[in-house]
Amino acid sequence: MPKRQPTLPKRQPIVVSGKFMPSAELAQMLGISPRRAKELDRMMEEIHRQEDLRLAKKRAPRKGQNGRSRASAR
Amino acid sequence: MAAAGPVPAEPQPGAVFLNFPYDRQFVPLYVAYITGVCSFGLVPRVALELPGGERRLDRIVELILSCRYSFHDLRRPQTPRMNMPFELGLTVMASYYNPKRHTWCIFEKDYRRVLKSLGDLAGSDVYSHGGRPIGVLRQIANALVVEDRQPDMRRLLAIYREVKTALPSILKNRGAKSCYEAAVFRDLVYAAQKAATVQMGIS
Repeated sequence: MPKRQPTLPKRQPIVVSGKFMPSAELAQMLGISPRRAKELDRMMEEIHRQEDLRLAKKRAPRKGQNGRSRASAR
Repeated sequence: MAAAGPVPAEPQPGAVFLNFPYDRQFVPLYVAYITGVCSFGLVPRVALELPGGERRLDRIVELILSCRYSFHDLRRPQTPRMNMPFELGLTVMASYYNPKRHTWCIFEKDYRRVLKSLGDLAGSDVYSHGGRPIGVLRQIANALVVEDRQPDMRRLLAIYREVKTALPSILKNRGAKSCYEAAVFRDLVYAAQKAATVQMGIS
């Protein structure tokens, strides 16, 4: 007896180029004005900077009860 | 019934039609879908970009046919709406007649829910995201493979966080009450691509 075929084909991962559309082209395609695009660029750069700072603080050793440097803690 | 409008010559290779509920509870996943798709260099398209009116259905069909891929999240909205399964049906039909022009993927919180609500899909793979943004990002990363550089989960999450942070400012700037407004969607797509290129060091 022949093996029953699935109702719909099994999905394979979709291979994409991963290349990004140039910002100006994307803005034009979306109908975003160049001025608004610049505002969004600035906003995202600022958010990225803030996020970097936040992560850097998180990674830095904490102060507090054991806030002394290792040398003075001895 | 007469044939509708013209069929686009070729679908846009990087365009992904997103089909999901426009629901308040869905906002984190909405942002995750936009972020995930943009992080792979693709451009999400949604029906909410289209104006209403008599020809809306024609425009939806044209939009689906203009996209090379589509992702469908069949999570049930609070207010029952039939648009999502209807648009999935349109997509399946488009893909059935021309599989090289369109590839579709189903996403759901739990794959068993799809089998329960839409048993016709039995046998097709479902990307289960667990109802969480991290799950959506993970499953998009499972569905898509990049030729040269695959964005890892750490980067995808960082991009998601940055876009989520931008959302209140975008809403305020656009004077929007809902995230599901065309102008807000467009700003989110632009912001997500910007965040992705910055995160991946592409200028």
